[in-house]
Amino acid sequence: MTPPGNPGSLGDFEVAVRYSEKAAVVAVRGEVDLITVPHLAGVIDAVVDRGPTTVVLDVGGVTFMGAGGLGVIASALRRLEPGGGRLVLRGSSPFLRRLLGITGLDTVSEIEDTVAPPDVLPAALTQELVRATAFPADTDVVDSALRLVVALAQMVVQHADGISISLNRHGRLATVAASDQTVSSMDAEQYEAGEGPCVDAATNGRSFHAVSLSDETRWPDFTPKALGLGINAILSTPLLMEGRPAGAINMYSRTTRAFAGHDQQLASAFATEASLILTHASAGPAEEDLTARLTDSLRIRQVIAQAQGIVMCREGAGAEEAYAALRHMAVSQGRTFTELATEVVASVRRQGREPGDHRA
Amino acid sequence: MTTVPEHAVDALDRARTDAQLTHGELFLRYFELGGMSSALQVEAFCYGALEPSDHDHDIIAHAINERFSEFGQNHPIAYSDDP
Repeated sequence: MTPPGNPGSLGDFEVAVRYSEKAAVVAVRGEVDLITVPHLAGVIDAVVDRGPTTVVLDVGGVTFMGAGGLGVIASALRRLEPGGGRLVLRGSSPFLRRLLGITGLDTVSEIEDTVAPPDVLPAALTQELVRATAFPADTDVVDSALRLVVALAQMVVQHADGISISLNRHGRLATVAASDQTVSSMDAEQYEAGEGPCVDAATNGRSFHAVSLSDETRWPDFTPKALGLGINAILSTPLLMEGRPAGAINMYSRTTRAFAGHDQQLASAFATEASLILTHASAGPAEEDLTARLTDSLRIRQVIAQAQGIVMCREGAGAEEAYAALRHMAVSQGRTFTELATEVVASVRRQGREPGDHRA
Repeated sequence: MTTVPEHAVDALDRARTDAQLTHGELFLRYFELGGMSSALQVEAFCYGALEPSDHDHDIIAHAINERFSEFGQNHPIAYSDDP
């Protein structure tokens, strides 16, 4: 007997097939994962080859189904449809049904509502994710893994109306995954205000929970904006990269006191998974990413040099004197140096276009 | 000859850490703002191993201050020409 957990072990995975007059019932138990999925695919192929009109896939005993299992369902559908056959899913959990909904498979297969087994543990799904990203990865791969974490969290955390992941990239916070536009705006409002649970969690490396935003005093600029968008509770849990704060997973709810202890545990579990993905992928920034950043830096540097030159001409100032003058203006107007320099350069361009202006 | 007092130079690296900027990120921001020194020199300025000119000090201070203002803090690092 193979000990449990041994690589290559099928664990408690089992497939049983029964035939009735026109239907074949395929009953599956255990985990449908990377190791067991070829077995399931083989059995279903053999069943479909016999040409039944209906294949019933009984997944009531399935404790975990990864992307491979969904692939098997999709391919069975593709093979059955041309011959007028149909696929019926029996005993699927609410969680699996939502997965099927996301992948569009719920519209083509029939889903029988029977006994619902306990929901699949989210951690089991994200383990596949971590396996898939367990090597230095480029930004695109990390982002898509994080988007998947957000999608999974959205399915599992029932009280969250929206979820996002913010990451500190090049010293600035940015939303890399969000369940919808409102959530992205919520994040952006926080970056702009420089405050909010997301900013605090990503900065301080601990959770920030706004239980009821209407009673909240910690974020005076941001809170009214969130309330204005109908948000009443926020839970931001930090992501850590090699132990240092690197971002946050943010859960938003329209309902006051939406996030109870169970949701906080789930938030923490998803934050851990996302942190693992980040840590595995953090062998250094991808070359393309770095090139883009440097190109950007050169452009900003050029605009600042132009603005400096303009002030030197206008004021008859030296280079460093002009630079200090621009800095004073930026600080006193509460703007970044880049914003100010961009406007100084643009103002000269506007003057240059004015009618009756005869300067060369 | 610089007029930046020694404790202010010391303060740069603490401020950099408080602002959660790595040396690399700080250098990129410094470079964007028109700084002419190398990454190694900027790191040495932070640690106080090299003394920056007032101009260099102010660019580094501003890079860190802009980072702080992203957190909603108002320019905690002094410039060489602050009154």
